[in-house]
Amino acid sequence: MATDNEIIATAEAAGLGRAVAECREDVIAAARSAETFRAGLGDRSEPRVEPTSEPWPPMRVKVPS
Amino acid sequence: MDPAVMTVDEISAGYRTGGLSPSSLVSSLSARIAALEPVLHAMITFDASAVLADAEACEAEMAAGVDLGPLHGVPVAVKDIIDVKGVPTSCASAVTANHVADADAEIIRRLRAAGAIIFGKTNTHEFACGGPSFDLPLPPAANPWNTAHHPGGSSSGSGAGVAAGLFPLALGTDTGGSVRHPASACGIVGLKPTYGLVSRAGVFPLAQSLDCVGGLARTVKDAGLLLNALVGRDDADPASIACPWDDCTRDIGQGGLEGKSGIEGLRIGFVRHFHTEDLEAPVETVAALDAAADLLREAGAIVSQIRLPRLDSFFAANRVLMSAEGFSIHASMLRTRPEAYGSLARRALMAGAFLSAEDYIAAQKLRLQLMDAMERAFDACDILLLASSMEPASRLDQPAETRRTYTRQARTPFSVTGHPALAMMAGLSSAGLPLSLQFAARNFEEPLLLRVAAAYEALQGYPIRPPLGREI
Repeated sequence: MATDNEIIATAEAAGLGRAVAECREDVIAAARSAETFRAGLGDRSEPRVEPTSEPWPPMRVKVPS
Repeated sequence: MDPAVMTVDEISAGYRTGGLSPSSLVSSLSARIAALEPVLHAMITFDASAVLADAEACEAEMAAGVDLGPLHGVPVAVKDIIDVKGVPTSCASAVTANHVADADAEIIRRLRAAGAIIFGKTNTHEFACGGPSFDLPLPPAANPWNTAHHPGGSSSGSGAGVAAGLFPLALGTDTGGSVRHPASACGIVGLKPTYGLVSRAGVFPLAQSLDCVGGLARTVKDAGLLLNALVGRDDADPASIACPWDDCTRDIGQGGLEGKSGIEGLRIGFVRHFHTEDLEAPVETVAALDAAADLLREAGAIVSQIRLPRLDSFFAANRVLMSAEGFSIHASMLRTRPEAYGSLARRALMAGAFLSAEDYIAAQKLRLQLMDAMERAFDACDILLLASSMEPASRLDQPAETRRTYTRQARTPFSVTGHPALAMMAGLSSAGLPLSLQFAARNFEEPLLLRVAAAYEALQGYPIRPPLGREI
């Protein structure tokens, strides 16, 4: 779990310095939510490389009509 | 007949026979809004003179013999994240309070072409996420079954207004269940169509790979008639797809010969583990779902239990996708005017700043697996039956309880996989608040979805009117 100082540094790097100044508690709460969300994705130690694991929606080129 | 409870078919019949006119309907509903809005807060923008002028225009068309179809002269309220030309699209936020749309969203254009009367803008959680909030320009909407309770969200005003009889139809948007939640909390019908079937051009996005526009109505058929008017390919929406059917209400009552329900032989997969294992719903919710399964079985359907991936897998994918995509939309405003947001939306939208590209791709891969699993489920059944909300609506003055129950639902799976899903009433709780269930179908099988939901509706004798405003 990131420390509050690490969260603030990440927020400032993302351009959220004003949010840090104006509503620091909300910035930290958002980061804690993100940690929970990331954990919910589970173990990603086994890479999936088969074609069907292409992230959805796949990139598609336009077909001229 | 009371205009507050008329179906679309009843309104149309009233127009045809001369027992009702668009202007008399609109005047009656406008009076209802004036009487109930002080406690309901369902509307953000409502211009009684403008809707009356539109109604009179419909009347003139009808007098000239023009018939634009079943929605001609029917009021449709619009969630206030959808553009209506010349009207503010506030998104219930101080951030965009002064934005006036310079063009109609594609779906508004389609509704006008179908003869509908655009009937004001409805309350929403700020930018369709994070509510109910008390630090916004307007208070949150209330539930007409008990105004101390939340009406669900984020399409709160659309749900509350339809249930309270302020208008027969309303538009909402659904990114993780935001059409179906207010439908569930308010005891009405909420239909999220197949992803891509309805254009989002002119709709303020929350997360584009999840966002769907859907309809709220008092009856299943009304929800279908509204969807009929909305569908169609639109080049302005990159996710838009052509609709394979002409009328999604066409199968309602089909097979329903005398003494038949119309669902004989259909295979219904009952996803019971969502509300008994993954999340443990209260006894009355479990009983309502079991009773629905029994009722459908008695009506001739083949009901069997079916397993999907655990609910938390769907939530995991949805939360990362919604947060990352939502932040990408709001990043510049969160950098320059973070104080203009309400606290709940600010927290929800900023979460995406703390997710990585790896997280986002992982969520998309998980989503693929979940889509595969859902498709396999539909190999074994025609329709899914499952819970919507685990509990009835929480009290508005108990934010911790609202937050706790907000994610205790089974709507998000179909936002993640894109399949069509419909939420509706499944009885009343001991406290007199609506219980709810969902039906879901294969992609593009809205006609079958509505057929089954309408059969259940008929068997249950729905809709039931809430207490608020019955005396008006």
